[in-house]
Amino acid sequence: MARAAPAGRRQATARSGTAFTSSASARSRGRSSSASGVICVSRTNSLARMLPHLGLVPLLLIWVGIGEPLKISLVALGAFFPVYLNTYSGIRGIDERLVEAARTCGLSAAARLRHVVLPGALPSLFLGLRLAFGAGWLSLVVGEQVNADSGLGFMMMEAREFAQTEVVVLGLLIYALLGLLSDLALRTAEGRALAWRRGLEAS
Amino acid sequence: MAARPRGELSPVTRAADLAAETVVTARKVTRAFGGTTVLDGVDLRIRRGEVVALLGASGSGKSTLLRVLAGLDSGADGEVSTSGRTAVVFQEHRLLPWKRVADNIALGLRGPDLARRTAAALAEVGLADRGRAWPAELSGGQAQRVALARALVREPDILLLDEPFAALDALNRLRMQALFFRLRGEHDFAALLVTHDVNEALLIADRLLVLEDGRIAEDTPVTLAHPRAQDDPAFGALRRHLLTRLRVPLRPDQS
Repeated sequence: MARAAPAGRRQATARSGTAFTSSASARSRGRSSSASGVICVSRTNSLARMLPHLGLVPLLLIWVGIGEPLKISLVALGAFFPVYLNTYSGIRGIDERLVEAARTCGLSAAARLRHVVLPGALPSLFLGLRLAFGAGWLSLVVGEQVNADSGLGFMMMEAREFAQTEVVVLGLLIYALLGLLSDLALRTAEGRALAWRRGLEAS
Repeated sequence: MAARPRGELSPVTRAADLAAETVVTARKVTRAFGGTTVLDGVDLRIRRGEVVALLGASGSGKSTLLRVLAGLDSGADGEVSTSGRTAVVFQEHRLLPWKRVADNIALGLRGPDLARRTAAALAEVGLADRGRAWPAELSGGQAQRVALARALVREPDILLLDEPFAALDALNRLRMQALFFRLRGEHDFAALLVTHDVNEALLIADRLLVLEDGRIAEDTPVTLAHPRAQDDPAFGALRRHLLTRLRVPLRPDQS
């Protein structure tokens, strides 16, 4: 390997002792303030998470009325926490040593987020998505059956009024089919995005 | 190899050249964890192309010093300057499991001939056909070779190795040591090899440092001619000296 010697002497990590200490203390200050921020946010979050989101139906009825907005709000609320919580724990669980190795490879903070943190959290994100789909379908069923003027649940509730069992069963079958399809789509996406785990399972 | 007209230098530029020949300078590096001082004023210089082995008992701060030199430890005090590119090989391979081998090697690099450089680095460590593999499909020895290729592809001036062969089995370790020695002849890097293996240090290093009580307690050049053999009497003498220095019993019945 013929390579010209570097033209100038580059002070890559030249830092004086004081600079070292001050940057270290600044860092620890930043960490503690962000830690209290996390606690503050996560307390509010725990409260919101412990509240069954289907219990919000009366409140949502007052706020957004019946119809599409109610369904969308319910599904969004039901899907948010599984995705959020699992992605959060996925990011927390990333091997610090990999982040460090990426740093030695010269990756900036943004590049580390893209190449290390996000791919590392992807398995947890997918787990969250699967739970979110379950919660989402459940929310839709409730939203449509409790208060709606259209939709599958509305159709089933109407059929109940006239004792049309076959329509109710048809509705159930469609729910099952939709759930199955969404799960299949998610599995396919997961299989593609997490192809690297196949090798992991084999070893 | 860097071709430089050494003979034409005036005394002044020769002094400057000497400074430029140093790739790592550390002065009064201290590091404490809680109340325990691990590094207590370490001074260190590594010249261009020099392989330095850093020995020391377990917990003597070898890895801590390496992390400071690699810029991974922001809690250390003192002065560290490096010139040129630095690459690090850790005890574990630390490959990203979600990137194929070739993408792991190319991590953080840019350039038009990246694929060629990556392939060349893989070929150098004898894994030319594994570029498309996932890290999880590799054996421990192969993964560590990929980690070495990931460091080499950066054409480092300084290679920092933190017990890179310690987690390998004995046969793989010997192979890796031979590979390292070969690569070192082909590339022009200086290396700091943190190891607890005295034999390994004596086989590949130009200079040995012993870290004790947070300081460099010994700085010995290894003048044995290459290729070095473990059954060479001079090798044995140096080995005994080092083991005594590290307070390791030379025979099982001494303790």
